[in-house]
Amino acid sequence: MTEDVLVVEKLEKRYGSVRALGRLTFRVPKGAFFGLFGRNGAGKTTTLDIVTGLLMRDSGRVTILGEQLRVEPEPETKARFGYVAGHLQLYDWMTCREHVEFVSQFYPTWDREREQELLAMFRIPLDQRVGTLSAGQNAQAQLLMALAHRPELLLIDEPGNLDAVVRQRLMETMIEAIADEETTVVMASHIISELDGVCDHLCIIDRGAALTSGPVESLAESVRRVHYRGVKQVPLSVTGEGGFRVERHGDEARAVIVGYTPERAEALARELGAESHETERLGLQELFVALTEDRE
Amino acid sequence: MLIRLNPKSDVPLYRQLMAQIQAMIASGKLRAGDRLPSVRELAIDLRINPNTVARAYRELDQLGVLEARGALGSFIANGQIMQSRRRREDEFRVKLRDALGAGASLGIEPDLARELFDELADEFYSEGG
Repeated sequence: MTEDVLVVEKLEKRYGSVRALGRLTFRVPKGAFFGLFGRNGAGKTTTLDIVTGLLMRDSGRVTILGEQLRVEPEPETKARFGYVAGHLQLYDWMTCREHVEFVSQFYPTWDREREQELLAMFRIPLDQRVGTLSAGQNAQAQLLMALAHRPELLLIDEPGNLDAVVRQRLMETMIEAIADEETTVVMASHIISELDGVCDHLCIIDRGAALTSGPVESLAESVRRVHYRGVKQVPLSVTGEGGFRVERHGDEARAVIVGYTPERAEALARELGAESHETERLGLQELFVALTEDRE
Repeated sequence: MLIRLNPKSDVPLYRQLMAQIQAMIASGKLRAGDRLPSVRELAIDLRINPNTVARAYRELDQLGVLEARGALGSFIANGQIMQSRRRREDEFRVKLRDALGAGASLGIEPDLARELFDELADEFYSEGG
């Protein structure tokens, strides 16, 4: 995984006086399942809209599938990625069947067999007009249209209105896509816990800038929870040097250490007068919370 | 094949996967010649990234535990090469530790121990093992 399918450099965007993105930088390696995480209003949707050409940036550089964007991607590039987002405008007056047919013409790689598989997987009322679909059905129709052409890059913005069954199928479909075709997935989501173990690269956006980005593996190495036993000298809650909080329960204590090293865990053990300690990795959701919660 | 991964463990997922497959071989649940699920199957089954499964398979292949036979899939390798590098390393480590312990009880200083080890190693390997 050396090639990057999406590179975002110093991206900036303002809506009037509001700064949506401020020098956002990250890169997505080929074949990754890339999570774009952030609290509400952090700039995830703005980022995806800009890299897919729906929205103009103020400054910065975007390279998608090798093409450095001027305004929007060339049609040849557009045909190689798929974008699914709640706010995308479909043609409401077409039936689903007509819409799928219409969209398929833009993609030389459209796969009829895949289309049928996806139709069987998602519940899409083919004869109904697109304008009458529920939000969940609309999202499923979009997924079908984004996946049936077997895109090299799939960008998804929070399909928050999907029910549990559809979400599960979506996850399985994406895992398959990565396994079979080396599709790269970029997913903006706030249901982070569901991506645990699947997402291998991430960018956490906070107020329009990257708080951290890169392989999940290295992030999990550097942020750990440490449990201390036989703790003697410590108040019920203290904030340690480097910004970690120690919580004590009886003679046990635990701390999430950002910038973890065995030495730092040892140093804290001595400070607490602890008899023993052990470390634990954090799940994606906990990592996210640990890194963003104190940044009000 | 029943595999349970613990995302909270300090051990990365691919290593857990490797360890569980090796444990299943050790306990006889998997035998030489058995076919393993494909990367895709196992990734979907465990709901983890296919790259994680692929990495575990690749490393097991390098250790001689698995044998990748192209499109046919991955199979448990034959007995002789199956003892993994890691296990052999661990065994060697235990023997070295014993030797270090013996040295310490004879009052050999750490620096002298290192010197003697290097000397012996040079001698041993220059003789072609």
